[in-house]
Amino acid sequence: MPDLERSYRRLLRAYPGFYRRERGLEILTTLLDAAEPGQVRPSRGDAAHLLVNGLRYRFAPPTWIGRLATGLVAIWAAVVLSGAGALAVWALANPEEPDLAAFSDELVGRPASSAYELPGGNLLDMAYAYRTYGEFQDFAIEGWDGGRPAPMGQSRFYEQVTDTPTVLADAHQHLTSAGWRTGPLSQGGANSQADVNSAHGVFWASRDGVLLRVSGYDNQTGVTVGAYPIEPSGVLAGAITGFAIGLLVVWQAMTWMAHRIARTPRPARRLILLLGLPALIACGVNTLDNVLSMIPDPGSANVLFAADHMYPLANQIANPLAASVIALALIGILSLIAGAARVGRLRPARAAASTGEVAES
Amino acid sequence: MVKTMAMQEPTFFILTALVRATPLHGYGIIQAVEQLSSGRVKLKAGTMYAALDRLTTEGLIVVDREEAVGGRLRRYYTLSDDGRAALEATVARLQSNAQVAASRLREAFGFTGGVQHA
Repeated sequence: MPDLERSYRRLLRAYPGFYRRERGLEILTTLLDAAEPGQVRPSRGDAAHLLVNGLRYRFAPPTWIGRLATGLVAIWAAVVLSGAGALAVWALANPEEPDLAAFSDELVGRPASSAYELPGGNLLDMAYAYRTYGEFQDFAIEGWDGGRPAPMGQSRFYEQVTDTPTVLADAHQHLTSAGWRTGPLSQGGANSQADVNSAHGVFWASRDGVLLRVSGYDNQTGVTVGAYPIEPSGVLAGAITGFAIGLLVVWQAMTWMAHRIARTPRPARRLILLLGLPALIACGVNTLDNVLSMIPDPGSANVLFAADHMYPLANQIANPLAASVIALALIGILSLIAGAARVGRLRPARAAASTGEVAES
Repeated sequence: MVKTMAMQEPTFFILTALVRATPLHGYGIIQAVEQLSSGRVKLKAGTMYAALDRLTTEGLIVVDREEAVGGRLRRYYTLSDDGRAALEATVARLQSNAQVAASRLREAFGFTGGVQHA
């Protein structure tokens, strides 16, 4: 094969396979027809035009509805896959849950009245539910900037502590002198509602990758000590990578599907639209839900923790309706595409030179 | 379907090139467009086939026949009735636009057919 033809064939790989099958040989023929005598490599202009147009067929859906559908589905998938990226990084880092039960009891000077484990065993359960435990909802106003907690570990409650402010101050001093890095001890609002969420005096401390949160509650008649690992680094990068890969792959797949649907007969197209509509709505609504549930309310003291980046995936497991609607529509549409005749737009008008493509009936 | 939107110049010249008794293949269109536009419009294959795809989808051109010889494939295109109507509509539009501009120039400067320097 001459060099020029080989170069053109390589450039034509910028086009998606379905298009190369339709047009590839024809474009190659025209390129070779147009070549100067003795030309051995494509001109820069030809190469650029082939690359740009090839990528356009990969990434620009053909109709407005194709563009809308591609955008909705690709962004939904990218957001969900950002959760998968975050999960992968988190699982690889595998932060260890600290066991500070005895240490915590010693710090408060009595055995705990009760304890609960955050659901750190299943990462997706954790990402979905950890905020309901309330201990992380005021993080921004608790004066801690020494690393963020992974919401997996144990919280221990000490009830009927008579002098909570003194216990907190002593614990703060003890930890500082024991080499812990300690944050400021806020006195908190002693008169605020008795509520685990609003701490009555709180401070954070860290040492060797472990975070402690010591707080008073119940109008300063109780103390809580929570021990967490520091959240793994790179979770955001994992989420961004998952998003980018999802967007790139699904955008391309949806563009392919839009081109393929444009080549099915009109009745099949109508059916596909009918099937696809609920899925598109599910994509839009679910994306909004994923993003809005993740992003902290600007009026609150919530911050975006690394665990939140897994939320879009966790949400699919906890509430599988949207994903089910989308999956069913996808299966339906793909089987319709597979069963529908392909419209032969490049079928010659003269029967003698048929390409074997099936005509629209 | 007759397109009433403004037609881009390459599209205009592709349709114009196909106003003829015999169909043209890809390279024939490139040559004809260059000639008809006095060398101004030089189509690149990638761009031309994107235009041909669009025109085929819109039904303005049709594939008349194809020739597969020696590992090469040439499709020959002709103007459809819709394509002819679209081109006629565009011609009418361009003519009317040109007339409006010419008459305004005439009113303002009492001169047409070129730029007058004071």
